[in-house]
Parts: sequence; structure tokens; C-alpha cells
Amino acid sequence: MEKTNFNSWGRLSHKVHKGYRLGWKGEHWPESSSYLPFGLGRSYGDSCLNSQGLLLGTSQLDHLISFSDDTGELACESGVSLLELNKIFIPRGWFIPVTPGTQFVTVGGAIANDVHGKNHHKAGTFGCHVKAFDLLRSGNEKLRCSKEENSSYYKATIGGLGLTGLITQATLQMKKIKGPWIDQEIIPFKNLDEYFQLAIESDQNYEYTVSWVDCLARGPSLGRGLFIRGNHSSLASKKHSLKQPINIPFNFPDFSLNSLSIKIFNTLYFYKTFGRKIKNTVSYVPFFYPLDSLTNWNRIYGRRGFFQYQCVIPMEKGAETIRELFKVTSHYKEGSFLAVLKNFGSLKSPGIMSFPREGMTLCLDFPNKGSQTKKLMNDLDKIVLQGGGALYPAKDARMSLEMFESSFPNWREFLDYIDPQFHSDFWSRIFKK
Amino acid sequence: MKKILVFGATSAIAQAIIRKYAEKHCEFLLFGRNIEKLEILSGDLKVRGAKSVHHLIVDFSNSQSVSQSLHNALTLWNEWDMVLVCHGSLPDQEKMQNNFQELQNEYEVNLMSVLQILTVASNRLEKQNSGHIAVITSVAGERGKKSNYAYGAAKGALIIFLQGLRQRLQNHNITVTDLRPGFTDSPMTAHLKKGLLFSSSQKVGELAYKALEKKKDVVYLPSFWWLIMRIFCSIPEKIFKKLKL
Repeated sequence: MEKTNFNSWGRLSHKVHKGYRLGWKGEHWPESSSYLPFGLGRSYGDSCLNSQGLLLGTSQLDHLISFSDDTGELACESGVSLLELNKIFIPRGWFIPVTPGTQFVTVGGAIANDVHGKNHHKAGTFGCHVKAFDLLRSGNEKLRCSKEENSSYYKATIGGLGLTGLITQATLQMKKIKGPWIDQEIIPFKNLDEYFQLAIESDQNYEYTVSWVDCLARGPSLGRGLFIRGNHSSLASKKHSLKQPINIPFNFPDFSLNSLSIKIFNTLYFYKTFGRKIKNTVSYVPFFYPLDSLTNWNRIYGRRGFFQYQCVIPMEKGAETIRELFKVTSHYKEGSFLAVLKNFGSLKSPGIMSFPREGMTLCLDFPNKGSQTKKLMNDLDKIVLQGGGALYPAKDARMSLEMFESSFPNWREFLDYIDPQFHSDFWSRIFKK
Repeated sequence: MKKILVFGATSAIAQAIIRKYAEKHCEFLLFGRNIEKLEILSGDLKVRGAKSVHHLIVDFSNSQSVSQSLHNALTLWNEWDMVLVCHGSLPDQEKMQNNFQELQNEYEVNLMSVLQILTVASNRLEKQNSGHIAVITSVAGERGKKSNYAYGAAKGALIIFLQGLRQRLQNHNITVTDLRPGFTDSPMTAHLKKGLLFSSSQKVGELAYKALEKKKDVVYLPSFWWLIMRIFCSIPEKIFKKLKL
């Protein structure tokens, strides 16, 4: 059995995480007290870790099974990465229907976390486009799951955090596109009110919308940022080539991210368009995956790792709650450079434990400074609870049982579908097992 | 489109190499031990763009089985563009020290079956005056050490065999590539502790593909192993024999 350095993206855990890499879907699993599937480790907290048992590494469960050029229906094993799908299918005119902000995610991980992207307001979550999958349970029971077959397992596994069993393969509906280019617009906004206006306007005519926010700006500039929107371009003639990413080879020293350096970064980033609107055509890579150009960018946060905090607030209370959250963050001077704001649409995911729901979602990241950082997040929790919001387990390393229960009202129903031998550190933390 | 024979096709490095050729719409004849794995891989290569994929079961520890599969390959295709030999096993050194039968079996897989394939393949390519032979060897074949000298000696014999073969075939427009990986993170090494020098089989496969496209003679995967091996091989035997490796 392999002893590996499996860890999550926030790198907050210093325990040993044992793993076994599966090469074939029929392969026998080594003996262990409990299991958890592990894809590419892009969950930030502990939802992809299982320090008490064994991680089933799926990154080599990466075979394609079938693809129809007529319908765009793709069947593949669960360890296939979105990077691989993009490399193979974008040149053929097909794109994954929903993509998160990184390509280093497996299909299985995208289902288990029911990931979302810049087109949530038009297309819903990743799970909305999963037609079927095979679920392998610890008793060697294999369930074919879809809306029609084993539908309760289908609904529990989409967003089920890998706890219902190992997804071995899935069938996805891909989306037809004209080419690898995106017609993009970047529009600076001076405060939150301008953001709310832009979001309502843009969500109608733009397939992809997202905004970056300078979370350290205060007073009249509170919530200033850049609104990014785009549509697939019909430009087809230009030659498209992929650039090699740059690797961050070592941990930055812990002091390198401080309130001053972040303030400087955020101010420069806000003014990168010189206060003007930009309109251009860019490759899908910088548009969807700006951070993929830096391999191991999580090392910038130093040895102690970092937290992400993502919540969604229902529309009715969205504006006031988001404003409150920014006030607290800027007061603590703890924000960082990845503050992202987006409106989710009303399309419902089939997953009963799915995080995205109609409302405004805000994602923040904080270098780990111990109790001070936790206190800030506890303060944010109170505001989120008041706003009737929810937190995202894939990014979480510290939410309370109370937060979890109010975020996922269906959690009791979910318990029936958890595989008795599947377990995660997230789950034992929430339920103090 | 190239017609490629792949022995040990389901090995991690082989998969990474031939996926690249599948994108170029090549045709494949895959050999391996496990029919289920061969079927999964065949499907994968087809979706990635392979023009056609055939697969056959072979037991590399049995020379009759190898001979039968070579016969089948000769009847299926009368022109071969590339012969890629990727199969091998990493045996337990201690077990072989105490059991000659064990050692002999390993040599069937890691050496004799490869020589059998190379004998048929070299004559076929020589006749057609074209083609490319590539074999995965190992840096372990360059100097014996107590932890894996049985495996190393089999790979070492292969390295020398390939050198001679390369000379023999070079006037026939045939390339012979010695793909020489260092430590690779693959199912074959799943039980070993991974250090800094380990590369993923994915990366090794991609580098191997590039080297094959450039028709290299010998290539270290990744290239830093060339330097490590030059140092490793220059240690005087008097000192070397006392090292714990």
C-alpha cells in the first residue's frame, strides 16, 4: 500500500493520509477500515481527506469509454480530468457544460461536489448535465444511477461529497461550441450597488459572468471590483495553442501575504484596466482558468496553508448581507486576492446535498493565521446565518454542525445513502465522531 | 497512418505513450495479459482518435504464447511501422536469491520474451526496410546493486542487445530507441516509498513520445537521469561495493 502525501488544496492538514491509486475500475481495493475517493485534491479543506482510513486515488481511472459526435454524449471513467476533456474535445467543437475555475478537477470530483461555474445562471450545476453514473459500494455492489434508475442514489451522490461510494464512470452531456475563443468584457465597478446593477443586466445576455472584488476597499468604495462577462466567440480562424504553466516551486514565507502586500495587489489589480471597460477576444484558458497558469499556486500562502470561505445568500437578503460580509472582512484587514462574487440562477440541481442555489455567492480566501482567522470566519457565519445562507463544504475546513444543518436541510435524508464503509475527515469533524 | 504493435499495452507508461499516438489517428495492435484491461484501453484509444484497435492476450512468461501472438501479428498486418515493447515486472530481489525457479520466471518476462519479440520484429522491419523499434529498459540496467541486481541484469542485457541491434539495422532505415526511465510512480512501484526523484508515469510517457518522434537512440526519462547515472557509474567499485543501495 502506498504512503503518500495526499493533501487538500488548502494544505491545512499535517496528518499522514494513506492512499491507494486505482488503475482500473474493476480493481480490488486493499483492506481498510474506511474509504474515500480522492481525485486531484482541489477541495480546499478536509472533505477530500480520510485520515482514519484509506483514500482511493482515482487519477489513473482516466479512460474514455464512448463519445457521440452527433449528440455530444460522453461516457468516461471518473478520474478523467477536465483538463484532458478540454484538450480532446474543444478542438472537436465540444465543451464541458459547466466548468469550475480550475481544470485540475476530475469528473468524479465535479459530481461529488456538484461544482458550479460562471454560467450557473444559465446552466445550473455540473450535476444538471450528468445523465448517469456507476456507483461502486463497499460490499462490491454496483449501482447504475440516473433519474430513472436508482434515482435516490443519483440524487444523493450528486453533491454527496464522495460518501455514497466510488463513482467509477459517468455519462455527461457535452455542449456544442464554435471554437476555443471567448468574447470577453471587463467592466470596473466602483461599489456594490454598481455590481448588483451590472449582474442583473449581464445575466440575461451573457452566458458567463463573474466578478472579482477588492475586499479590502472600504467606505464609499466598499465592494469595488471588476465585472467579467463573456460568450463563446464565433471566431474560428485564429490558431489556438496551449501555454505551459509556471510552477511555484516552494512555499512562500509566511509573512509574504500581509495586509500591505494584499492591499497593493488588490489596488493594482483593480486598476489593471485603468478604470476603463475592456472588450476583447481571449482563449478559454485565461477566461475560465486564470490560476491554472501557476501550478501549485497554493504555496503562495506559505507553510501554514489557507482557508477559503464560500457562502450563498438568497436573493431577497443578498445585497444587504453581502455588504455586511464585506464590512467585516475589510474591518479585519484579512481579505486576500481571490474574492469572487456571482449571482446563482434558479435552475435546480438534482442533488439533495448540492450547495449552489438561487442567490448571491461570495468566495473569500484567508491565509491561515490561526485563531484570528477563525474568529473572522465565525463572525462571517453569524451574518450568513441571519441572511438564511449556506456554506460550501468543498471549501470548508471549520464550519460548525449548526452551520452545516442550516446549509443542508436535507442532511437527515442523505444519511440513508452513505456507504457504511465510506468516511471523510469533514464528516467526522462536523459530527464529532 | 502508423501501424503500431504494443507489448504490455496496459502498463502505465505504455498507456501514456500510445494515447499520444491515438490523437494522431494511428492503428494499434495491443498485447497484454488481462482482457478486461485491454478492452477498456481499446475503447479509450478509439474515443481519443485511433483509427483502429485490435487486442490480443499474451502470457509473457510463456514462449509459446509469445510466439503465437507474434504469428497473429504477422498475419494481421503485413507492414509494421512501430514495435513498442513496454511489459516488465519488478521482482522481489530477496525471493529470487533463494529460489532459482523464481529468477528464471522473471527472466522469461523481463528478458527472454523481449528478445523473442525483437528477433521477429527486427527481421520483419529489415525486410520492409523501414520502421521503428522501441523498448522500455531501466537505469537499473546500468550498474548492479544488491537491492535489485536480478532485475537490473535483465535490463542491462537488453540495453546491450539493443545497441547491437541498432548498429545492425541502421542501414535499413530503422530506428531502435532505448527508452530508459528512472524511478517512475506506477502500479509496478506502488509498494515503494516515493522520494523526490520519482516522476509520474504520465510525464515519463509524454517525454517518451517526444523522444520517439525525434527518433532518438537512447533517452533518459526524465533527462536528469543521464547526469545521475554518469555519477553513479563513475564511483570506483572498491567504494561502490560498500555502499548501502
